[in-house]
Amino acid sequence: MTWTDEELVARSIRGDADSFNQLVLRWERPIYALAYRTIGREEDARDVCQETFLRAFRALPAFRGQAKFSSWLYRIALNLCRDWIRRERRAPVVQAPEGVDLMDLAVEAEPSESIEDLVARKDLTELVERVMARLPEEQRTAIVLKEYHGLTFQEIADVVGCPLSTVKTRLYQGLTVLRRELAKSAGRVA
Amino acid sequence: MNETFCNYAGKRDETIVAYLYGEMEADDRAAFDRHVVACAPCRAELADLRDVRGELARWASPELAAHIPFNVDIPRQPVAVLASPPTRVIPVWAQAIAATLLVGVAAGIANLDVSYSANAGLSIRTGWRHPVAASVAPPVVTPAVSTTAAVAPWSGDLAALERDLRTAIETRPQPISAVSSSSDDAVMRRVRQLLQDSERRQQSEVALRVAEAMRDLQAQRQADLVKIDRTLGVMQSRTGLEVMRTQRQMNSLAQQVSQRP
Repeated sequence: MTWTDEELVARSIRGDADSFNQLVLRWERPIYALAYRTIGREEDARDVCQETFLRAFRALPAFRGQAKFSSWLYRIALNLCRDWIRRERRAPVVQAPEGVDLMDLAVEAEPSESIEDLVARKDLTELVERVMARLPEEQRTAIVLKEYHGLTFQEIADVVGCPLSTVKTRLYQGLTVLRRELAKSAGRVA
Repeated sequence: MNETFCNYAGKRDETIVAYLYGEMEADDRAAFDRHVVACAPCRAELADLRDVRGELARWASPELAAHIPFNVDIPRQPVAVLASPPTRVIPVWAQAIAATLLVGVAAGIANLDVSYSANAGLSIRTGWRHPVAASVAPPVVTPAVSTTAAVAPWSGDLAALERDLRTAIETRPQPISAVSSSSDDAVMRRVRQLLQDSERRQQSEVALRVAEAMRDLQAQRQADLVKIDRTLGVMQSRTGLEVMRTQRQMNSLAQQVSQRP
C-alpha cells in the first residue's frame, strides 16, 4: 500500500522511523535536483539534500501540515541553498555534467543529426545553464520551481514567502533575460 | 487586425506569464485569447517564451548516483559505537597505578592529616592553615579537643561533630559480645573501612574515565581513517575518469583526422 506524504508524516511523528525513510526515498531526487540547479555543484547539492532531510526530521514534530510536505521540504532546501550561496559569496557554479562528452552525445544522437548539430545542442544546453547561473537568485528559483518541479504560482509564493504577483513578475523577468541571451547566442552562431 | 504596439490595459507581464503556464481563470483566459489574436507583439513574445521553455527542458540535472545516506537510525549509531567494548583493554595494574596516583595527588593537595590517639580520639585535618595564636582560637568545647581547637577556626565545628559521633556510637546498641573498651577499635575499623571504600570508588572512577577517554580517542581515530580513505577513493576515481575522458577525446580526434581525405 502506498501512503500519502501526509500519512507518512503523521506516522513519522508517532515514532515510525521507517515512514520517514520512505519520505526520504520519495523526495531525495527532487530535492537534490533543486539544490543542484540552485547552487550548481553536485557534491554540495548532495550535502544540502542530506542536511534538508536532517533538518526536516528534527523539525517534524513542529510540522502542522499548514503547507504540503513537499513545499515545506523545498523551503528548507532553498534556505540551505541561500546559506550556501551567502557563505560562498558567489553565484552558482556552472559545472559541466560529469561523464558527458561528445562520444556520449553521439550515442544519443538522432541518425540524421550531424556532429555539428550535436555540438550546437550541447552548447545550447550549457548556455542555458550559464545564463540561469547569472540570473538573480529570486528569478532563478522561481523558474526552477516552476519549470522543473511543476509548482503552481501560489505554491511558489508559499515556498519563497512572497506575494503571488511577485512570483509572476520574477518569472517574466527571468524568462525575458533567458530569451534575450539565447537570441544573442543564436545571432553569434549564425 | 494586427497591432504593432501592445495596448493591453491590465498587468501585461503577469498576464503573459499566467497565460504561458495556463494558470488563469477561464474568463481571463478567453479575454486574453481575444487580445493575442489582435496583438502581434504579444503573439511574438509568447512564441519566444515558449521556445525558451523548450530550451529549459533540455537542462537536465545529474542523476543522483546513490541514495542520500540518511537513515533515521543514524543519530543513534555513534552512541552504539561508543557503547561497544573498547578495542584496547587497559591492564588492571595500570588502572591501579592511575587510581593510586590520583588519590595521592588529591590527598597532597588537600593536605589530609589523619591521626588517632586514645586521648584526643580520631582527628582528621585538611587544608593548608598552620597553627595560629591561641588568642584567636574559638572557645574550647571539650578538654579532649582543646589542642585542635586552638589551631584552626573550624576546629570547633570538628570537635562538635566528633562529640556528636561519639555520642551516637555510645548510644548505639552494642552487640552482646562487645565490650565497652573495644568501641575505639570499632570506630577505627569503621574509619578504615570507609577510607578503603572511598579509595575503591575513586579507583573505579579513574579507571572509568581513562577507559572512556581511550574509547573516544579510538572512535575518533577510526572516523578520521574512514574519512581519509573516502577522500582518497573519490580522488582516485576522479583522476581515472579524467584519464578515460581524455583518452576518448584523443581517439575521437584521431578518428576524425584519419577520415579526412
